Amino acid sequence: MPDIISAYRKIAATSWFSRFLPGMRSSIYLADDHLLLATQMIIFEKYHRFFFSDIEAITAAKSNRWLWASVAWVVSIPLGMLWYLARNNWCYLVGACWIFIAGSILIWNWLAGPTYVVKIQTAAQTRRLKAVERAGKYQAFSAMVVPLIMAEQQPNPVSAIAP
Amino acid sequence: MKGGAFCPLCNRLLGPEFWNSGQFQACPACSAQVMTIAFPTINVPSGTSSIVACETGESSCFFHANNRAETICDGCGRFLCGLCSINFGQRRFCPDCIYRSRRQKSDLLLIDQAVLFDNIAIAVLALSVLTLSYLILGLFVSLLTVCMAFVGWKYQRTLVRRSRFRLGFALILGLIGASIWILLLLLLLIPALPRYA
Repeated sequence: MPDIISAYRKIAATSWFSRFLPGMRSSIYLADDHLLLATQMIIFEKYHRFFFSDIEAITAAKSNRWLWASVAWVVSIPLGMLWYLARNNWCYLVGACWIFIAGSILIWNWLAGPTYVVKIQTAAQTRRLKAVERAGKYQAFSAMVVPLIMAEQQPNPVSAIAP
Repeated sequence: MKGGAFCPLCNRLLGPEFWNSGQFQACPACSAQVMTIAFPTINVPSGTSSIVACETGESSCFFHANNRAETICDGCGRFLCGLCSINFGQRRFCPDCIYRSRRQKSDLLLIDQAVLFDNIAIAVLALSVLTLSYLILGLFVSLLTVCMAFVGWKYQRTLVRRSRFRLGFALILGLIGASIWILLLLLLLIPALPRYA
């Protein structure tokens, strides 16, 4: 393989939490004329390219995933308190760690904002963009990528955009 | 066939009234709140590769002698018909070039996957520890980890930048494990050696 070139610039990636879930880690890179979606499958990294001239649509749907995740972490905090029933210093320590971790993730989940399901579509493929499925990330991604795609597809008649 | 946008949740076709509205709208099928950014290409009919019968005196496709050549492969220079020409941005390739480049990893544009030796090395070590097989096969697993880390250091080439921290981490863990195992084996074997004094 030729030497790695620095043509790709990372513009979005899934959170650190996805490192522990096989197949969930994915990143989006920006090149001169295309987007590169890199998805890790434990021992492989798979690449999908989306040329600006080929992209037909980017669709986003609101998802309740972050609410369910919040509920799960809220429930896990009282579960951590069960450790305090055992009157032992080590159990107190484990309980404190449990509550701290669950609380931290809960706060991070709230701060990260609502979740979307985002897909990018060309004539040949449709892929899910897990790296930009938080509201803030999606808006930043759209603000960066949409002008580039529109500029690439500008030669087409503008009236073709509907409506 | 004319293109169209689809709901990310239920895959229902979303009509032009959903495109570029700038706000979320309810999908008619699943009621999910959907926002679609459509680009001009969406109106370009897909699957319209021109396949024209080759007349006498015209160049024919390398793969289909009856089809008129429409373009030239950027990889090997063969004449291609609309059926055989595969676009990658501004470049066009024949199926042979795509297959060969992916096998040989000769063209960065056509590479579709990379092997992550660092993850393999760490996974081998972690799995052996979690399954307790490290207690029996510890030396073998440690040496395997070291080998994988060395191979990765030399041959791992991902398309995007990737830190070598994991490789170094696996190498150090493997070396420490192997050293401890060799030391333990020496401690066990030395008393068993015959003494000539």
